[in-house]
Amino acid sequence: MSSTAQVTKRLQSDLMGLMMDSIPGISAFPDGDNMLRWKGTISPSDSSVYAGMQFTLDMQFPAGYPLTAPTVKFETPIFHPNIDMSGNICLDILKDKWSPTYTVSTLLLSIQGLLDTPNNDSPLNNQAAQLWNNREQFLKLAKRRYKRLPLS
Amino acid sequence: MDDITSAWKFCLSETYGPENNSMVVKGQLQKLHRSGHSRAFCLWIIRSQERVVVEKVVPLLKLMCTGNQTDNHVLHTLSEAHRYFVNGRNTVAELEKIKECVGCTRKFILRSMAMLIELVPSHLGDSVARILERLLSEYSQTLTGRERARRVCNQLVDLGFSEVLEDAIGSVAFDTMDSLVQQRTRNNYEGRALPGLVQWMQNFLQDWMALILPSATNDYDNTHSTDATTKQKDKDGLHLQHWRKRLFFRLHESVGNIRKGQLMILIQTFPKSLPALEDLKDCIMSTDQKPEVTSAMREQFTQTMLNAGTITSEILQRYVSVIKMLRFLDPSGVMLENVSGPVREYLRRRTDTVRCIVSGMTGDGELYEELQRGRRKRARDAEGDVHMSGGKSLESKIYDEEDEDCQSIDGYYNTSMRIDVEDYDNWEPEPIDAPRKGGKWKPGKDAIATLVTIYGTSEQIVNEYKGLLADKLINSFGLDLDREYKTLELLTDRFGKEAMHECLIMLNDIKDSKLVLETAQSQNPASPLQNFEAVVLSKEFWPKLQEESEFKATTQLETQMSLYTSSFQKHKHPRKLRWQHGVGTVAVHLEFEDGREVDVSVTPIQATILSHFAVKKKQTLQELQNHLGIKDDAVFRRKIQGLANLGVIRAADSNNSTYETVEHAGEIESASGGIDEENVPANDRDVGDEQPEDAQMAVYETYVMAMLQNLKQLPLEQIHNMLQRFVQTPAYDRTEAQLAAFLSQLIEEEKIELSAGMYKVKKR
Repeated sequence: MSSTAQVTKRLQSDLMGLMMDSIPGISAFPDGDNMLRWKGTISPSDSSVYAGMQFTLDMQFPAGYPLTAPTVKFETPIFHPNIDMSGNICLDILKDKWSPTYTVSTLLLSIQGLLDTPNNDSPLNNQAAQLWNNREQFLKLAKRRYKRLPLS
Repeated sequence: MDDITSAWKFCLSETYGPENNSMVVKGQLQKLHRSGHSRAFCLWIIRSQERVVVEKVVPLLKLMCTGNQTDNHVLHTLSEAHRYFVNGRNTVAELEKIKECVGCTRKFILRSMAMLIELVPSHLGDSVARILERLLSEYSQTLTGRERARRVCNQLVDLGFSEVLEDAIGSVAFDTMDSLVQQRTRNNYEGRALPGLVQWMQNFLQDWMALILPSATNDYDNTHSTDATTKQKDKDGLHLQHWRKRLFFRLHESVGNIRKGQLMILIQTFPKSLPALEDLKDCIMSTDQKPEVTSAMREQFTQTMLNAGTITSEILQRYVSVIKMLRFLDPSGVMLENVSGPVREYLRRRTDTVRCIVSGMTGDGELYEELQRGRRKRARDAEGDVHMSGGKSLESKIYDEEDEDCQSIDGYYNTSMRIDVEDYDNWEPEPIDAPRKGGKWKPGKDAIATLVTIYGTSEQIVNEYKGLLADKLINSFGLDLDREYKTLELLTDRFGKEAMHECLIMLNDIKDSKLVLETAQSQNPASPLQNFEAVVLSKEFWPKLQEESEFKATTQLETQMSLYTSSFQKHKHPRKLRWQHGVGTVAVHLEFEDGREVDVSVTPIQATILSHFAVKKKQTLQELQNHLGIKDDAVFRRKIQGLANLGVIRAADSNNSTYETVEHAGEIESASGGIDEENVPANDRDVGDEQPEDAQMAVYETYVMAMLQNLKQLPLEQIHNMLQRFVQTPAYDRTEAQLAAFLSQLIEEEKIELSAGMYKVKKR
């Protein structure tokens, strides 16, 4: 079996897992014909700073998946300590802590978790990290920054 | 001197008036002439007549143009203007006798005409056209109308408006023709309109034009020699000829334009619409409308047929009509090729196209006839008898044309590899408008060949047929084997022996099986093989059958099977028999306590389950499962649910672990309503099959929702494709139409919405 076929098979099962569990707040689906590229959606919990918003993610799976971590980026602009202006995410499990046992579901859940509990020690967005503890001002700035944030 | 003075005075007073007494003028002229003042006098008269033109004729003509006059008034005004002009012309003509004034008439006419054209508003033509139009309708009824039209035209020509007149005549003729064309072609699809119109044009319109058309050129200096007259006649003849051609072209163009807009109706009513198509064909031949008709056809077909809402079989059926229609309109096949592009492209993307083509070819529809026609054609050719036996109707004539090239289905080899030296005299260049695709232009394909080109080769079609045949042979009762053989023969003609080889073996298997069974029965006369039927399949040649789980058959069946096996292995040694229990269909006759007798067709597993119920009316699933020895719970549950949907058994407790037979039909409604809301009303036996589908569809809902949430918006087709790709267990096997129905259900539940052909998640 070729490696792409293996990757595809694994992603198929990821997809099925995602469909069967249907975890509220996260969802993802392959983008058209290319099985190696997915679109994901994260809706933060109601208690979150980002409550009421919806974030679109772009996921690219390498030919070595699941041995190699996928590349995940935010497509929707977000003001967050660990996410930079172009949507790059600083998350350990996407880098050195990646494990082949992770699936798309666990990945999305981790990112959803990251939204509420950022790692302020290694920020990508310094300003956001500084403001994090001042929720009111954080929101004010966030909203000014991204006037077109998709508020549903 | 007195004479001269009085003559001057006379002329001054007289020549102005319209009632010119030329005798008196003549007398006065002679006096002036004698006195040597003739030239000055002539010039003066001409000048004064020109003033008449400006002051009398021009206002009258202007009055004609105002448009608020009645027709009769206009005619009168025109005559008045004409009279002034002719009087003036005649007066001037008198002067020709004086030596110094020779040629003055011509000068006068040219000058006054120049003035008239300069001074009269250009919309004189409109008034003229209006008058002519009325006279045309009179013309057909009375002789005076004819005379009047002619007089009006002559008057206008005299006044120098022959060009205006000709334009007006042209526009009247075209308008009249257009409205008649409208009247005769609108809503008339099943009769020819063109021949009648052509006749009308030749007998009536051209006649009328010949009568009133001004001469080609008006040479006023023509000396009327016989030679010049004949020349003029030739010229006029040619002029009229030009007009005839214009009318002819315009007529065809007009008809073509209307038919062009009716294409979809013509397709729908085909072949009843053949007469209308003949009109269109003539129009295409006589005008340059071919590209227009082609693109109109493409657009209309794409717009009305190639959308998600139309089911594939319908598209195919219409497409076959289009193929036939275009082959008729344009035997070179160029139009068909140009129209087919998007249709083929679209059909290729639909997954059930192959199935529809194949079932069309093997069913009773048009495609089956098409197959047979191809065969008849070849048979005729073989006998060297090109004529159809029996009545040669219009239709058969057309199909004769169509059938030219049935054989070359996969084509390129047959036509282009072989160079026929004998045939080079018949060579014809490729049509100039043939689509350029690098390859050789191959005209003349019939409907089936064209459909095959959707996939490039016939392979997919043949495979689909194989699958369909296998299913049919195994799962249907009362199979008409002869008919299947015939269909196969027809297909073999087209796709070649090699491709259909396996299918032939499949059919032979069925035939042989009957013999095997008979032998087995005759050998065991006392045995219970009478109610038994088995089919032996040659494993290598049959497509893979849907695997059904193994199960323990009833003891009766087991004995029958082992008897059969021993008989088979005795006669067909060394061949081995391997049973496939789950394959096939069983007709079961059920009798209930309330006297109901129900006949159902079920799978072998279900039949076995029913036989266990015959022994014991109420059983737990576990018991049944043990009887049959099926391990997979899900499979077993599905089988049971299928039976429940037929209304013969029902769940006897709330968690569906015990089932019982439905002995009294009346019990069903109350029971099903009370126990399980999801249960199907069991008396609804027709929809029994659809219900579990809905349940399965619900599984796909998660996928659809995830898809739409993440990919924002998608068309039906793409959702369908994605489900096919990504849904593995249970595999997605619905048609696009079923999916559309399911999606509209989701729309009703306000989960998703549809706008502009795209589905998306409904925002709350």
